[in-house]
Amino acid sequence: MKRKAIVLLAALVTGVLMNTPVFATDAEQYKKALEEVQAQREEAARTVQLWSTTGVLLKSAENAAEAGHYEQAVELVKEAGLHIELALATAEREKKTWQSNVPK
Amino acid sequence: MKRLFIACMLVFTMMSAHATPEQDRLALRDFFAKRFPALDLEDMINGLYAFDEGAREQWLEMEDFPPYEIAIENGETVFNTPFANGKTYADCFENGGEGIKQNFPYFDAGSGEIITLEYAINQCRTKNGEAPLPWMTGELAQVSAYMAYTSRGNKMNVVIPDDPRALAAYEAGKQYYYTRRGQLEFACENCHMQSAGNLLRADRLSGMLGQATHWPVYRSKWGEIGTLHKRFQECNLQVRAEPYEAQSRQYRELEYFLSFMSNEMEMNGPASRR
Repeated sequence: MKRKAIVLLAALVTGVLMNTPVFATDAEQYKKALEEVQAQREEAARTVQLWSTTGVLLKSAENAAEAGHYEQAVELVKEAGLHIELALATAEREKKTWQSNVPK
Repeated sequence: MKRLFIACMLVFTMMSAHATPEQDRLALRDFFAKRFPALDLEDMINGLYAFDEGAREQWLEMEDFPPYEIAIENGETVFNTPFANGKTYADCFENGGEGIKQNFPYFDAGSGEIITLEYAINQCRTKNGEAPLPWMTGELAQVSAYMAYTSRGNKMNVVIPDDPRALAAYEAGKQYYYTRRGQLEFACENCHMQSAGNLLRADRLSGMLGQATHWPVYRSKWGEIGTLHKRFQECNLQVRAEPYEAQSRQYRELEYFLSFMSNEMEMNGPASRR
């Protein structure tokens, strides 16, 4: 009887654990993250030249989402957002430094 | 007296902070003269072949039957074929479009825009009721190749008129050239000034001086003739930057600056490169 209860409890815990990631990162979360980064990308592209990796990462995210791997898709979208931030940071720094390489 | 002194200092500071385009051009020539004291600067219109004797020999042999020859012939045919309204390209350009490439790009005071030769070719088409051609290869590049061919031997003569908008366009192009971009954080200057003449894999990098004199170019890796803006896009991708559209404002400004830097150098387009 005790053994049966342990097996039942273990099955319950396993079931909960297996289901948790599905609820943690779903299509809605991917869509929300994508919308945010796309808006960020559009805004940044008005003032700076972005990295070509940004589009590549977003395409990979799209492929991952299509395969149902939403957690991976969200990670890729976040990485694309980071690449946008880095392109902005480079552009900001370069505004102050580009003239130092012009022959005088 | 004190105010006058401050005003003089301000003017002096502004003058020293912003070199004129001609001062920029002379400083650039001086840079390359010091960097390559044994090199004839005028030979830099030949790009990497100015630095690599072996590659130069192969290229000169190829020039006996140049791969861009067909593009010139096709371009001439297209250039002389009347539009549906009976007019031709020759009607759009001064001197019938012959021997004028050295004057491009120019600043158009009416629109406030930089007009490259390819931009003007498509303007000519739309003005005459024809659809514009794709910017980077094909018929447009062929017409440009023919017009470049008729301009061979002339000296680059890009003008920056006394108009703050023209100077702003030049300065924007200059800033673009010296600004690092892309994931690899490279500026045009990193390759074509700092590393000019150095090997990048199997090829040597060309120098900035004379870089605008020989377009359009038949590149072996493209397998066809293409425009300078196609190369700009390729350069951007090589440093992992998202390229702009061909004939975008940014690329036209870059071409304006780059061409001014080659002023007084011989036009030698179209050319062939690896």
